[in-house]
Amino acid sequence: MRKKFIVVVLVPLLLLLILTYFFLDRWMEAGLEYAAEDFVGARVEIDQLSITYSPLGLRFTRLQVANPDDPWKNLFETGPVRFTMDASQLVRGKYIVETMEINDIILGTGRTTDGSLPGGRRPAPGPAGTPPFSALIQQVLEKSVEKTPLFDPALLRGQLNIDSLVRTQNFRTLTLIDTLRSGTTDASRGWDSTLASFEAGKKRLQEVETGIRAINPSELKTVDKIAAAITTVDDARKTVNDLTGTFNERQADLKGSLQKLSAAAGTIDESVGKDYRQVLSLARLPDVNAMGLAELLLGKQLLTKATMYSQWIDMARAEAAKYAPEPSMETPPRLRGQNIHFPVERGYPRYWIKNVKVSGGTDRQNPDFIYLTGTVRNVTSDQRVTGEPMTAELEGTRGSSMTMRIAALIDRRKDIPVDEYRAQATGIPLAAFELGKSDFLPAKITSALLGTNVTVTVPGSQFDATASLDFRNLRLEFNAEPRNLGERLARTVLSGVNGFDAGLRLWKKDAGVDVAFTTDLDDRFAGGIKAALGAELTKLQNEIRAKVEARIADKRREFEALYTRKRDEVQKQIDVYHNVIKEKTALLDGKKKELEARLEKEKKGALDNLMKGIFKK
Amino acid sequence: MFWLKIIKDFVAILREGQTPRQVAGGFMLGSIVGFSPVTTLQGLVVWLIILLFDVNLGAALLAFTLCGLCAYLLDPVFHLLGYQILTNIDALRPFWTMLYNAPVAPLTRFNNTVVMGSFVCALVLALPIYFGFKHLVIAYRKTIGARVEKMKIYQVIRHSGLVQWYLKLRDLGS
Repeated sequence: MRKKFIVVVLVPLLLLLILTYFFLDRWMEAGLEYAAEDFVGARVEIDQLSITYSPLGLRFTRLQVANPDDPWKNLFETGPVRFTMDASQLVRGKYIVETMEINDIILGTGRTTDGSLPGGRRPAPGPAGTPPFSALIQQVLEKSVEKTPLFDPALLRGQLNIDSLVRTQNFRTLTLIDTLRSGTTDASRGWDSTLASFEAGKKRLQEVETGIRAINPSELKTVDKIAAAITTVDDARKTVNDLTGTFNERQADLKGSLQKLSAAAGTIDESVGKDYRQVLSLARLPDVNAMGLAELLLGKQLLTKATMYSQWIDMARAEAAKYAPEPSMETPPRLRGQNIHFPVERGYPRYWIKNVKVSGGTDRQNPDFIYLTGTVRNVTSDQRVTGEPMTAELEGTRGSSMTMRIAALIDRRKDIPVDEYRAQATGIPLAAFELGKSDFLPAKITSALLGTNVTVTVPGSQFDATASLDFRNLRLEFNAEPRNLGERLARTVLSGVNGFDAGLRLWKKDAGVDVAFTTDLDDRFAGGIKAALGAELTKLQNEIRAKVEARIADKRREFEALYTRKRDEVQKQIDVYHNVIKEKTALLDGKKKELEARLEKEKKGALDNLMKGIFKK
Repeated sequence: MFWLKIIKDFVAILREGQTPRQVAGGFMLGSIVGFSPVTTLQGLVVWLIILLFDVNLGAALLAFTLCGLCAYLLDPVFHLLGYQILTNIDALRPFWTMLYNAPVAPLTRFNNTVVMGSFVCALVLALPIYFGFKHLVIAYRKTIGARVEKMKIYQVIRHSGLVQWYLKLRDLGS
């Protein structure tokens, strides 16, 4: 044994290990705080962290995470937190947390110290990607909700300049017609070359006809000559068949191309309809058939809330995407070798928290304190390995009357990620809830109980969100006297009820985000609008439609004339060539029959002569 | 200077000092870690053995350096050998699978072709290296050393400026 080594190296190493054992808790605490601060962008404080060795794990008594936007408040703080890890997987560099308990989470508590980080240690913003849902909903909020229709017939007529409105619009139909026109011109070049090939075919058929007509069966005196003539007819028939086959193929191409153009031309009416509706919406004419009170009363408020909550969905999706498996890079330099993988009894991802038990809420001193409890399962770096989607289920109460339930499912097991979020709440007391808009029935709910049910499904880059709201024990306060027919009708409808149901649906289509609002009061409101404004509106709508169509008409006529002319030319040429083929085929068939009859006759004559010769002998 | 000291010690040990078994043992252990990539559990264990037991450290370091150079040249051979052992010997497959699923074994990186190939080579060569080196030390001390010192070329080199400078350097340490 090398005593010097034991004294100089092993003994100090042992002392270092002992020292580490005693200080590891503090070092780990500092390291975790620093890493978390880098992630959050504000102070993170962990109290009394201790490492447990059997089973391997961590526990601490309190965690405070400061709010980076308001450093004198915490985003949240927790009570005791405890988790255990799978030590056998840790040596493989895999962090498998069997159970994590986070107790007494309290949101938004005050701080006694400043929670901002010195020297601007804030995380850099991530790279720009697809626009988040909150941004899409914000766009809808900006675009659709501020458009309040005009309800007053006098205002309708007075403020509406249909000519100017129609003149200044860039109609998509005009662009469509230009595209179709250039498409027809391009296609007609192809058709011309096909028709030119038909002409060449016609010449070839003419040559065949000349050759066949030159055969006169009555002049053919021997069987050999007749047989040779039949072979010539068969060859000609083969040529005609080849030309027919080519013709059929090209005819099918031509007809396909014509059908495509015809189908595209058929969308002009639909496009005119869209342009008309665009002008209609700019004219702010109310659509009496689909007049919804929900959009007017609740649209702005609901979309504002939806924008706020969608930021949470954005955050959940961003975090889930962050833990996507990294692509393996195959760059084996010298002395690196190749890793051979063997069957694993149980595959583990790099990171997997199997079960998180959470409980907590807001400050209990507050009589309206929120208390939530629930579990989050399968937070992992690779759901394809664990085979389990991430789920979260939280249930809670607020004060003594309100109950809530929140559930989420984040599934990354297939190529297209799917997220589902559900939230239910009952008995939400409303003391001050804004209704309407500055230009339509500004009002306030002074007292009501709200029940709500929200479901959001996010498959890939699409999404579909529905929310139902149930207002009961409703008391309303209107800020001003009604200024127009719409406000008067809405007020009449609302004053007769003490509650109503409202619905919101937001969904993403290829073209963008669409939104729809409903209430059980819509029919009554729409009926009133229809009775008061119906005739005047119909007249204005017809006028707008006529002017939109007139602006498009010239270009449309021009295109339709071009298309019809080209189509008829092509059809005519096809018919001519078809007839030529038919004619030549009939000629060939007739000639062949004639030759075969001649051959039969000649054969019979030769046989008779032979028999006569035999009997004479 | 560090390497000159090692070589000085090594030459000194060939002539006198530690026993041939200690010198050969050091060289053998050094060759095992020299052939293998450094970041493995078994490499750490072998280094601990070298440092803990009274084998010749100079011999171990020299073997580590020489075998490290050889390993770079022999890398394709190690890779091929390791690949064959890991993939083409069906009888061993259950054993590798068991190790692959065992808690600490992955730290040995046994499933890497170069680690496996070089380690097997080192183990196979360990005994020949030990006995060969032991024989060399004994022979050097008995006969070769005296013969070498009598050779004219040795005398010429020994009295050359370079070797005098080396001897000065050597004696600085003592």
